[in-house]
Amino acid sequence: MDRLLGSPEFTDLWTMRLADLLLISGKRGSERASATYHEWLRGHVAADTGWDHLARELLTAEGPVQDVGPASFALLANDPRDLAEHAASIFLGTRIGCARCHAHPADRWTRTDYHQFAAFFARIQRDNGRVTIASRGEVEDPHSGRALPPRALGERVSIASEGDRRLALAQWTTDPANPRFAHAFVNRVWKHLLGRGLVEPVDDLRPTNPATHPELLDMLARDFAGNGFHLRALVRAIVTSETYQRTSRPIPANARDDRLLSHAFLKSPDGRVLLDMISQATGVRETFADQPDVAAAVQLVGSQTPSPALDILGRCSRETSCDATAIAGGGLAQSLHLINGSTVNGRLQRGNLPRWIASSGSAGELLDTLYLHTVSRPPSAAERAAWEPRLSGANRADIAADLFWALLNAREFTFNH
Amino acid sequence: MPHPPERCDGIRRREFLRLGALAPLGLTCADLFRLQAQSPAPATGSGKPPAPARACILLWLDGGPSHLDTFDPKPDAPVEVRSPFKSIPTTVAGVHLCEHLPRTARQMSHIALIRSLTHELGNHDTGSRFLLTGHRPTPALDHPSLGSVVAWHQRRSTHVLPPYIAIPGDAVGGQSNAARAGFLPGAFNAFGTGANPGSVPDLHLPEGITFERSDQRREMLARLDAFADLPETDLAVRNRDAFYDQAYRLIASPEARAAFSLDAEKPATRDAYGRSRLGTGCLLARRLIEAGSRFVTVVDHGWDTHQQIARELPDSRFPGSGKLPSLDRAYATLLTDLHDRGLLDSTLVVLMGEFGRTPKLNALGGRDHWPRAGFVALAGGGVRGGQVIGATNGFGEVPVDRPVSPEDLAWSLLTRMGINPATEVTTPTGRPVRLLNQGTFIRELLG
Repeated sequence: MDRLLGSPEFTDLWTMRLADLLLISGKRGSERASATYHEWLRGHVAADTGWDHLARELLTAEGPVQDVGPASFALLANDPRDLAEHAASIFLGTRIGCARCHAHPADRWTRTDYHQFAAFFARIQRDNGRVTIASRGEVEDPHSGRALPPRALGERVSIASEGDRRLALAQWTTDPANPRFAHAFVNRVWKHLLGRGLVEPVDDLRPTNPATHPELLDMLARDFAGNGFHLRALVRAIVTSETYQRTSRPIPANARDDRLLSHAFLKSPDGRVLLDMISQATGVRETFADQPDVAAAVQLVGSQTPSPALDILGRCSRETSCDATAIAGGGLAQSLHLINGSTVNGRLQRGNLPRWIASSGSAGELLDTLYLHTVSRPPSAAERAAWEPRLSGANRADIAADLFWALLNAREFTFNH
Repeated sequence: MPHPPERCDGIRRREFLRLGALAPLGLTCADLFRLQAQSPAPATGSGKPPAPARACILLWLDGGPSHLDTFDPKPDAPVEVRSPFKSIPTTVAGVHLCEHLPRTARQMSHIALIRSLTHELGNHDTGSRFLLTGHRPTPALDHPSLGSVVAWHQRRSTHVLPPYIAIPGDAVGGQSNAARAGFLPGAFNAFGTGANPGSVPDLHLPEGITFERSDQRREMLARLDAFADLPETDLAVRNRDAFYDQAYRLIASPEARAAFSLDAEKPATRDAYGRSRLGTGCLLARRLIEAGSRFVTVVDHGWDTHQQIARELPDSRFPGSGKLPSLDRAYATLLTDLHDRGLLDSTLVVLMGEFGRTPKLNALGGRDHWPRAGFVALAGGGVRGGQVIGATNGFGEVPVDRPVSPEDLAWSLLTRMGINPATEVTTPTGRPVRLLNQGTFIRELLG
């Protein structure tokens, strides 16, 4: 467990997840600014910095985006209202967009709540790639045209309009007394690990959309906030639970359960993870035209790197929220690609397989190697009985290539179960 | 506090209460999807409408085609409004089009031309979403595109060809998801043919792999899946298996694969459609419809003409360079070809983009976004051709007669496709919504 949590792969994967959340696309600001932003994020994930610390930096950063990573957060949108919607979604798991035009139909937010929340972002300036705070700039009430003082969601009292309004917002957001902040993060991590959030959609936390297991969400969020908002401790708490370790095999009585955690749900890996899995199993890494030094798709900085494989297998565009995940079970184009395309077929004649065929003494040895590198377990007796004779006959290289292909297409490989 | 009669995304009060009442049961967060359609009541009206269209080809002019320089010329307007192009008569008396659409002008008897399409969303993404989904876009609910709705309506069909295909793909309206499945399951997204229509990637077996060998691989895969014995009840597993089955049906069907290829087409036919992307796309669309697909969108980018209309739209630099001649060739040939093959009556052909463009030419000789007035050309699928529906004022600024909204258009399209737009579906969060909230069938189309 400690080895996995401390591994660079853990850091890569969660940097990618958080970069998805923060929409680090590489399209806003310069290439260098994105690289700085990504590097900043990766450094903090590696160091297991508290999520509250990251949030405060993101919400309050100033300076040239080329040098100050979190300053790029302010480039998500120029309009304070748009940026407020991003912030509410990212940090609070809350959709306030409806309240821009009228009282939110399913939540408590009014138009005034919305515009006062947006007022926190009214004075950000973005000139020549530098984020600064101006002494003026307001969000107006759409009815009266009156400038509104900033006020946090659900609070009664407005705060002073002078100075950098974002400081108060960052304080309020990350205050352990604000349950939404921890709830939103914990719920997203839960979804990543178990395939479904305790609240779905994960960006729509509200009283009228309760968690499937509210006490569990509360407890995890309290622990998370009480222990410094550290990702690794949260992941450890979840993955060592009996719930996480449940089998994905249902019994007749719970086969229809899709949310109560009676058994584990199968998860389709993100397209980037799937591509890395195939690269790793075959020993043929993917090369990305504009980032030759990147060894794995999960390490890509932005979302714009040209990649025909990722276009088909899927990745977060980071244009808008990727909280609503991709197609469960892939799509027709993905199936065609995994069956006929170069991502699998282009990796069977080079890399690991020719080496394994040359170095394996017996069919059984080759079979073990194929299984261990794909489904991470040795074959069962039945599987051994099915495949060994075929691998012992003539045409061993072709049979091995076909079986390797089949393992890379198999449900057991392409689902996290 | 008074609240508006319609809330976010038009949830009415009663639905709102329902939504609240379902929450304690956890039904607001359904993840695995159950779409419960109430079977559509057939639209009743006076007279007997023609049989529904079997298929739809949508030519999407991405970026917003200028109505004044194409289908709604104003030759008598002042020079700052008037198109740099002349207008020409068509085969229908009194109807004129831009001089760069001569072939289209000869097909006017097939076309019902709406000149009064109007809305107020002047961004590419919002405008595209409005036109392609029939819903005013809202962050609250991601409505499916019309193509996805048609595919969903066909969900029990096991036809080999995907029901909804996009050429080259479903990227429209900047970064919008206007042509995608929205809240419907991903299976109802368009199948994209890729940037090189006529050679769809991954439809053919990899080099050196025979059908026998592919069968052997598939048999091995089936055995591995049986050994692993993952729960078949899981939605992701069922989806994935369905996609693999569909993929293998496509791979195994020479007819289906041939439908994606232009090899069988005579060079003369290819020339008639034009070798442009749009021409190739239209020819491919005809083949796919013929082979059984239900909704094919052909996307043509580059209509966001903020400058140099006089130079960019016609073939002024070299033959084949202009948007208008390639549109004219592709569109008119598609209509004649469908007609000659007896397919036009059963195939609705829709030509449109997200909005029209500013009546006044700007300083760069271009026009900017103008959602208040635009055009849609409909043909085939039982639509009565040879007519113009609605009109704009003398400057092409606003409809002065018979305004048509994107909702009306979507309503008419689905109705013509034999789908009742009032059909109720349940979103993943358990909310019942109608395929379309509002809209009125454009009567003149059948008149």
